[in-house]
Amino acid sequence: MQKRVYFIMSKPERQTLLIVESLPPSRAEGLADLLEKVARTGWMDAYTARQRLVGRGPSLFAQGERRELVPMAVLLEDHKLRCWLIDPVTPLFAPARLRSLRITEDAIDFTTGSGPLRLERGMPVVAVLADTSGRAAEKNLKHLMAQRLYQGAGAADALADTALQRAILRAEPVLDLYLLAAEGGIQGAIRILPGGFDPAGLGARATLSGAGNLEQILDLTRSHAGSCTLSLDFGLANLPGCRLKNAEDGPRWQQDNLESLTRYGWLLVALAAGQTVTAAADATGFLAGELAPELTEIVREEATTQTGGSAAPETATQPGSLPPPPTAGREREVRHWLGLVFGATAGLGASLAAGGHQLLGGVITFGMRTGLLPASLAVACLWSGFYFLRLKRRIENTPTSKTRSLAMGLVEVQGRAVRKYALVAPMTQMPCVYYRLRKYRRDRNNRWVLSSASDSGHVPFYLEDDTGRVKVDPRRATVNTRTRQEGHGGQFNMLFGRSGGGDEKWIEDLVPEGTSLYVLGEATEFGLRRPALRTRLVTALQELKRDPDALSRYDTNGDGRICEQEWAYARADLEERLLHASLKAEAASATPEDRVIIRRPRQRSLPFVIAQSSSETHLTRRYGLYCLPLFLTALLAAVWTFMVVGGRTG
Amino acid sequence: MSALIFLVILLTILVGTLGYIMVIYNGLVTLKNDIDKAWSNIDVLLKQRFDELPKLIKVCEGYMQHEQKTLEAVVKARSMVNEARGDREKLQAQNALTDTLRSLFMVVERYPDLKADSVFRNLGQRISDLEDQIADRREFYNDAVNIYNIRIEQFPDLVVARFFNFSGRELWRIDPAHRQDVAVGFSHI
Repeated sequence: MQKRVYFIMSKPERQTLLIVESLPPSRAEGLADLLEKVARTGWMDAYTARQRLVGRGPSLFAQGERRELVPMAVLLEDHKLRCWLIDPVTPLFAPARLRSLRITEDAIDFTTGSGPLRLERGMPVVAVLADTSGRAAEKNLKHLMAQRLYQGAGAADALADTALQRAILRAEPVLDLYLLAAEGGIQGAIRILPGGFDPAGLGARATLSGAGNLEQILDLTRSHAGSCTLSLDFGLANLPGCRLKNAEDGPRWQQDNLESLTRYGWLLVALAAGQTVTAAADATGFLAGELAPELTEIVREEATTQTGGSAAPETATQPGSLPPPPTAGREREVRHWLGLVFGATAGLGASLAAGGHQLLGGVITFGMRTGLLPASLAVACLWSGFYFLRLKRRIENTPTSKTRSLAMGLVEVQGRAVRKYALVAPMTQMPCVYYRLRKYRRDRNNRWVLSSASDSGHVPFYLEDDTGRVKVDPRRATVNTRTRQEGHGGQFNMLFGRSGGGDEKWIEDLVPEGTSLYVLGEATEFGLRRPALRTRLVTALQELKRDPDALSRYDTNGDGRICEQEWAYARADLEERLLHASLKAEAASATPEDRVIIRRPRQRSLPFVIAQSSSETHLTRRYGLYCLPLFLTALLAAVWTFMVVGGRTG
Repeated sequence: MSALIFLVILLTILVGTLGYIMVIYNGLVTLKNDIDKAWSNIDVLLKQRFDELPKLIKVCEGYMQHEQKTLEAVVKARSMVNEARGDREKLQAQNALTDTLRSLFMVVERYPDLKADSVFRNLGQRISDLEDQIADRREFYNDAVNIYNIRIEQFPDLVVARFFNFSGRELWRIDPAHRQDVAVGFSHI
């Protein structure tokens, strides 16, 4: 049999991948130091870095030019994390389906759809046991969440390998075997599906279960191979092009999952063939001379910062080093309780209405009979119509300001949303400047009832235009978002794209970072304003007069008194010093974006609108469209009222 | 009964129309006051620039012993701003001050020591930032005037504007001298 070896093909012109072996959640605590360094260097914010470092299996940490990734890789290695720098891998072929097999003392002979393949004793093998349905991955996540809930974040850990293997075999397992040649490269690849091959070759090992036979082949491979690298992390590992799909992703989802599995297998082979960064550095001496100074610089910078104690989140100034979002204050707690009370009242009202309760029925009948109900409806619609009309005109009448020259008061600004804090949406984990999450639960009548609501109104963000940026405090704003995600069940269902179909549903509205934003609110300056230079000069001169020692320094002729000329000199000298101090303080003071903030106007009649839009036109059009039906309803309700009243009076 | 319904519809439409007129009227009043505010906000920045000038002149004096004329021109323009009465006069004084400042910064090029002075650099940057902000606010003022002028000429605001004697406002006009082309000559090179 002629032996053919396929070598890993990569395209050097494409971006390099930095892949890291992720840590289980229980070991994430030890990452604080690394995350701080990553954030400080400006590569990415700490939250994103944590997401990429914690989990199961290999994880794509960063992608880019090799020279930019090497310092990152060295830093990861320095923190005892295994990582690889590889070029993107293009699979040359998919593993061939196994039809039958024959086991001998020295080898296992596989007969595949593409021809025979031989696994000789001592041959290196990369094996991937995967569940293409996503059920095992979901189970793993459920397990993780349950542990987190009952034993705390520190104890949370993924399923042990044996348990995960069992979960995969109980779902829809596929076993891919990559037979590696001694000189590197792939000699052949086999895809084994339960029930897809003749188990007779297993002899006494054969079982009645397809998954059991698969497990037997896996055991045999382990015993025959010289080194067998088994991966159970397909669907859990964060690698490019290896995402699990489900039926909602289209009719080809199963085919897509098998293709993803092939990509995953080839990536693992590339990782197995490639050396880790430190090993490569030791072998070639490449990193030792060229990159050690960069790392030293990072570490030195870190040491310098740490001497000043733990840095407050606000002091982080490097681009990308976003501090964690602030926690919600007392106001939010109050709002939360008010919301609950309001929700309970509304729920009670709805239940009474649905149940045909006598009291509510009586109130409605009375309102209809007297005409109070349609009259209230008419007034409410008229008032709402005028509210939207006023808002529409206010938006149209307010010219757009530039952030550089914002005047205090009601302002309209347009630009790009930029995060001030490392805020991510709780369900979709998308970096965003604002999110609103509502969770619903199905009640006894099979209707969705709001069970909880939360938002990131307490987290400020920046709005950036051509001239600069300004801080926006979205507390109590009317936020119009255009990005909505819906899902059933918990976060794990969302992560694996499953419909869940349970009794829980969530809706997440968010304003993703980088989108166009329109803001209408009140600009205010905050922080203490220093007194004018003239006032400070007067104070300094008064202090000078009270201090004879300081005054004597200006007595140039030594006659014991300050003449007019000497006083003028003292004054000029003090003025110059104050000017220098003032300019130095101005240069060191907070950046302009942190001096002005746009927030809810103190005058309650003024609007505070944040809309995900590049222009105000769609907003005004929307408010215009709200007005028309409201006015029409008001008219009809008024007619209805008078018909009721007229009918009664006869 | 049908007459009553007709009356109710009429009454509701009347209430709606009155409400609409009220919204238009209030909107126009807000716009008119916003224009005044936008104008005053330019003044705020002009005042800031005015206050920064003594500091700038003080720093320059130490280096520019031979440029007394230029410095005096700035001081004179500044005092003109202080003494100006009426919008037109104020505008002219501010324009004159801008011109003298421009001359001052051109002359500074001849004094590398002064250019290297950190205080001068900070002050120069601050005044330059203020100039940019003033330009932005003038643009903003023009936007506000433009919206107002369009409103009072468009139906149905036109009716309310005519009834309540809302008159148009003038846009910011620059000094005609600034419209002239810059004379560029390379004869001295």
